[in-house]
Amino acid sequence: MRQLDRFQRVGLLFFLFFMGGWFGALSPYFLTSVNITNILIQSAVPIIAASGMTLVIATAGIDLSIGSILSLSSIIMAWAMKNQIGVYPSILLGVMAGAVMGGVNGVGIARLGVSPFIITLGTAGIYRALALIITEARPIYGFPMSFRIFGMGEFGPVPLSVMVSLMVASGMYVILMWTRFGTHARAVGSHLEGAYRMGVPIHRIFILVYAISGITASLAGVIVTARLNTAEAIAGLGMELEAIAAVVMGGTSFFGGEASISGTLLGAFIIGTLGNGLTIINVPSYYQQLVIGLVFIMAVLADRMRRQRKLGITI
Amino acid sequence: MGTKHRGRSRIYLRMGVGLIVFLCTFNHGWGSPSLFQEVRSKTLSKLGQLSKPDPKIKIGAIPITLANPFWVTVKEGYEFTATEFGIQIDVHAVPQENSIVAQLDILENLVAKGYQAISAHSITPHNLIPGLVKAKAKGIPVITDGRVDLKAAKEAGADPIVIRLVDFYEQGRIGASFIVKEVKKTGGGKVAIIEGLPGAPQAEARKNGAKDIFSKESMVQLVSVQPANWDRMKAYHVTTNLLQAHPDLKGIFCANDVMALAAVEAMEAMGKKGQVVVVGVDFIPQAKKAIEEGRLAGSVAQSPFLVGEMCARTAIAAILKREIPQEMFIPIIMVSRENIHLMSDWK
Repeated sequence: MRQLDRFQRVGLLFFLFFMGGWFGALSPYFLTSVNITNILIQSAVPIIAASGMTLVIATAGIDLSIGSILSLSSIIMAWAMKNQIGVYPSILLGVMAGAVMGGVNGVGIARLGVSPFIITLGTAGIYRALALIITEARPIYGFPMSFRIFGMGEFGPVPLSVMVSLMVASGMYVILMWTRFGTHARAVGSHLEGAYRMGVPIHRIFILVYAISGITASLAGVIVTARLNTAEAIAGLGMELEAIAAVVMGGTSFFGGEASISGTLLGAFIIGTLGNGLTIINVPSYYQQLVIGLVFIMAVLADRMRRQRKLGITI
Repeated sequence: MGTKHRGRSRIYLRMGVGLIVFLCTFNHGWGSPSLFQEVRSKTLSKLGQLSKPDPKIKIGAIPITLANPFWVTVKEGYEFTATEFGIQIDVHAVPQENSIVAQLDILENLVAKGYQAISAHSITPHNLIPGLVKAKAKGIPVITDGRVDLKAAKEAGADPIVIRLVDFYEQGRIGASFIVKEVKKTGGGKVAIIEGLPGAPQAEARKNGAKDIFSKESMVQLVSVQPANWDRMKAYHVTTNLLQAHPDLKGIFCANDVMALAAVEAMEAMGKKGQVVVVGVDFIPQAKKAIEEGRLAGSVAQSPFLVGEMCARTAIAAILKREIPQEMFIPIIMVSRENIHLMSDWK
C-alpha cells in the first residue's frame, strides 16, 4: 500500500506549465489573470467530481453513475427551490439525494456482490431515466440570486465555485490520508481479502465510499446548476469519463490501493487548461478531439518518464 | 417549372408572413390569428386536405430521442394528429442522439410488427437503410425527413418517401442575417459561431448557413468557429473563452438555444450584459422567456410540432395512396423582441 500523495506528480506539473507556456506564446490573452481565473472556474466541476472518483478508484472501484447523479440531484434541488423550499434546505436535499443514490451503488456492491462497473452502469441508466421522467426532458430554470452565487459569486478575489472545489479536494485529501476510514478504503482497494481478514468493515466502507462519490457528484451539480441557472436531465452527460481521466492522469491506479489528490487536481487542471486554450487559440473543431487525445497520452508519458527515472526502472 | 413555381410560392409566403406580422402588430386584441396558426395552415395546405382513414390503421413513429425537448414536441404533433384522425400512432425513440444502431433495431421491430406506415427520423443519412429495405420487402411505406441519403437507399433496394420539412442550412442563414442586421446598427464588428456536435448533419448545416452569411458581409468579421457539442456547460465555457480572446466581440450565432442560453449566462457573468447579440435556434420555452426579458437577442423558430403533424399526415396520405410532394418546408420565423408577443401559442 503506497501513499503517492507527496507531490510526486512533478512530471504532470511540468507538463501543465509547458502547455500553459505554449498557449501563452500563441495568444496574448491566455496568460492573463482573468483567463487563469477562468481556467480555475472551468476546472471546478471536474475537480469536485474527480475528488469523489479518486476515493472510488482507490478502492479499485469505478463510478459510472456520477453524471446521472449530478443531473437527478440537481433536478431535485431545482424542484425544491421552485416549491418555495429555501435555497439552503434545497441544496441539502439535493446533496442528501446524491448520498442516497451513491449509497444504493454501495449497497449493490457490498451486499449484492455486483461489480462496481455493472452496478454503476445500471444505476447511471436508472437515475438518468428518472431525471427524464420527472422533467419530461424539459429544463427547470430561473433560480434566486442566493443560489446562483455558487456559480458566479466571488469570495474576495477567488470565485466561490473555485473555493468550493478546493475545499472538496482538500477535504478528500484529509479523508484519504489522515482518517482511519481513508486507510481502510485504500486497504480495501489494495487487497480486499486481506483487509477483510484484518477486520476492516468492508461493507460499510463500500457503502460510505460510493455515498461520498454521490455527494461530490451532487455538489458538482450545485455549481453546474447555479452557473447555468438551469437544471436539466441531460446535464453531466459524459462527466464520469472526464473525472476518470483526471484521476488516472493524476497517477491513481485503476488497480486500487493508492490515491493521489494532488495528481487528480493537476489532471483536472490539464483538462481545464486544454479546453480553455483550444478556444483561445482558435483550433478548428475537427482537430480539437485530436489534440485532446494527444495531450492525454503525452501528459501520462511525461509523468511516467519522470517516475521511471526516479525509480530507476523501465517497463 | 418546379423551381419557378416554388420561388413564386416562397415570395407569396414571405409576403403572407409579413402581412400577418403587420396585422398582428397593429391589431392587438382584435382577434387576429396567431403566427403559429398561420404557419400551421400554410404548412398543412402543402399536403392538402385528407379524408378520414380507416380507424383501425396503426402508424409507427420514430423521432430521434425524447431526451431532447425538440423531439418531445414532435411527438406531441404525432399524438395530436392521432387524436384528430381517430387512429393509433405509436411513438418509439432511442435513449440518446447518437444511438444509431438502436434506432435501426426499432425500425426493424416496427416493420416486423406490421404497421400500415412508419415515419422515421433517421439520425444519420445511412443508419436506417437496412430497415428501409426490409420495409420495402413487406410493402410498408416509410416516411423519412430529408436526412436520408436517397441515392444510397435506392441502390440498397429501399424506396422511402422522402419529405423535406426542415431546412437547417436556411436556419443558420436566417439567424446569422439577424445578427448582421443588429451588429451593423453599431457599426459592424467581430462575430463568432458556436456549433453543435462536429459532424452531426444539423450542426454542420446550421454552421455552414451562418458561415456563408457572415463571410459575405464586409462589415462583420467571423473570428472564431468553436464546437460546444450541444452541451450547455461546454457552451458556457467556450463563450467565456471567446470573450476573453475577443473582448470586442459583437455577435454569437449558436447552433441551438441551449448553447445560446449558456452563452447569455456566461456573457452576463463576465459583466458584458447586452454587449453581444446572441442568437440561437429552436425557440425552446426557456429561450422564449429569455427573449421576453431582453437577455437573448433572438431565436430561429421552425415548429417541431408541425414536423410531427406533417409526418403523421404524410403517413396517412401514403396509406390513402395520395400524391405526396417532396418539398413541404415549414416556414421559418426569426423571433426577436419585435415579434415575441405573437409567439404565445408557438409549439
